[in-house]
Amino acid sequence: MLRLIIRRILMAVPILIGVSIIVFLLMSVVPGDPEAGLVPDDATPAERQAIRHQLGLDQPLPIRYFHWAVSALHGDLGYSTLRRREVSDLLQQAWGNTFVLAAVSAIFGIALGLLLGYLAGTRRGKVVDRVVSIFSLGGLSIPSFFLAILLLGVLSGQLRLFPSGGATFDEGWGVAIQSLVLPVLSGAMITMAITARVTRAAIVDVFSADFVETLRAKGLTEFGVRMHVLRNAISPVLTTSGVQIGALLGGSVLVETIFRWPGMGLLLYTAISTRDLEVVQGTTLVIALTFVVINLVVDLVQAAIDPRVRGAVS
Amino acid sequence: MTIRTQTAPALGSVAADGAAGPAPALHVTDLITEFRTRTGPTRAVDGVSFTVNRGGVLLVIGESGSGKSAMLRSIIGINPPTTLIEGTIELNGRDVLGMSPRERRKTRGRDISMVFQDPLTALDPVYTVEKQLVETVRKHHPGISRGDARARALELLELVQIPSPAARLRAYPNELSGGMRQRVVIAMAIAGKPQVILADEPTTALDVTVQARMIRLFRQVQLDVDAGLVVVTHDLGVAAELADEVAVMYGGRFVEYGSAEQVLTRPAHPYTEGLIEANVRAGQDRRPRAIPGAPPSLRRLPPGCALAPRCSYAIESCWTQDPPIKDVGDGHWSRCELAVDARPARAVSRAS
Repeated sequence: MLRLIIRRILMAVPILIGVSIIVFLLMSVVPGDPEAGLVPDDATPAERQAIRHQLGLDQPLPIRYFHWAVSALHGDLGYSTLRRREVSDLLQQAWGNTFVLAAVSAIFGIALGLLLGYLAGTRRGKVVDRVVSIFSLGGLSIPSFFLAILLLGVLSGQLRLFPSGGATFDEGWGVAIQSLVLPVLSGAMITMAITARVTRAAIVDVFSADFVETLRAKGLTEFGVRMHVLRNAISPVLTTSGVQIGALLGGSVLVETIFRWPGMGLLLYTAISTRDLEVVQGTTLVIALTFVVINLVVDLVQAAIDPRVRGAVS
Repeated sequence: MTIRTQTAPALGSVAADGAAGPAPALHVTDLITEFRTRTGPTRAVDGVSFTVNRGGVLLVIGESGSGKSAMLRSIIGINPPTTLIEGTIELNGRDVLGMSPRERRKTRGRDISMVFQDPLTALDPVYTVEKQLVETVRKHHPGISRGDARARALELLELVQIPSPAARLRAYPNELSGGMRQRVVIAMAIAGKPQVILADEPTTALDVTVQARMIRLFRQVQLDVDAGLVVVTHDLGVAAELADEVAVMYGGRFVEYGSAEQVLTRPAHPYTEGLIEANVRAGQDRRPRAIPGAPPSLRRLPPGCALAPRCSYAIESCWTQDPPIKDVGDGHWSRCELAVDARPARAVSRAS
């Protein structure tokens, strides 16, 4: 198991290097000069050249990447001249806000999805199963931004039950929790729908496995049989949950933008629209890093609970 | 004789006088199993009766789809809840069909257990052998300590002759070979010391080299726990080696019944004859001959004898009338009009 952990971590390194190269290159090929915002419009070519030299922009790409990567490793992702803040500062704050939103959405969505999926899977073909199927198909089909706008319009606009904009915990717990409700609802819906569907499918699948007959034949209670089934069904559920948590932690650009929740998604959105290149680079990198870490954790947890996975990787 | 039959009213006398002595381990009368399907009921088992005593072995042979597996599942009670089951099933003299689901469940593993066809899929892949065995032991010995249950699990693995059992306890099913897994399944089946063990094609999924050893192990383990054994198979080699009595199943019914020696050397039903001719044996220079056609759909059995469309001996009455049960003597009977004397030619020509 320890060897597996080390292997997996080592495997994540090239992925991260690849991601960082892509992020860096993407920003270098974007049209427009990065120094444009820093120099007055009437600057002479010599003045421009001086600025470019000062920023290291006259160096060849590989060297610029190397410098950028080394400072990134030291936690220095550059300085947002537009916001007059260190990019890492901005990211730290945004990541914290996104984490709160993602954690609440994930717990809510996955717990509810598991419950619904379990109920549907163990009562296949019954009314519960149909209701859950329709509900989860609906949840899956509604785009989160559409649901967000709907919730915003009805619960906030018409009924005035919840605030429309994001407030963080700096503004007090009460307000923060109130303003969490709508973004969590819109973010958790898809997570819940996917989790419910995958859980149901996995349970139905495991129930048709031969070993379930063995369990019944040796006299286990229906509850005992279900515990075995659940333990077997958890693997695919875990995989999708990992992807979901990754997506939520990466910051939902649409949901955060609509509710003005000051997380990674909103930060990225603002940075792109204001051409704040350092911030875009840093945010993308952190989102990618989050995904890699989440997947790593999911793989390891999976190996811990399923001996077949363990055998396949090690 | 350890096994008696009282299949048809005509032969009722065979078992009627067996009233003295302990109740048989398993006594099945007129068992009917019907699955409810969207296209209507499917009768998988159609009036089967037999008796198995402790220590006895009944072998049921027949093609896939003849109702063998459905019969075993009905007897132990793990068919889908919508299945219709009629007749009587007595375990040690207790009628299980009249029991509450909870009582019925308690008989499983303790009074009757089952070994399945495919050992590769019969064990829960995410639990160790130890966990699955200990779980079974504790189920049947409430109040047993964890340590004692573990010791018993080890003992069970020794009983089924698994090499280095202590190491195997810690293994996951995917780390064991097919034969080894089947041994674990057998160990689980005898954990509750049942009076009856059912086995559904226990050697079919195994390597040919392992099959014979597994059969001998089966026999020995069964005698160790003194259980009655019902084995379903289409492997006549198994039949010859293991069985006291053989029943041939076709279209949900027993079509021939007798001692292994009677049925396998002097088959009295054209279907049994076909099965024997379809069987390949080493050192034999005849080619195996397939039975033409396929088993009947159990959804709509043809009128008359179910085998008539595939039977080369079929006469006119086979197509219209239910075949009568013909007593061939010494407890050997056949559900065929021509069982006794109308059809001796073929058996003789094959022997020469």
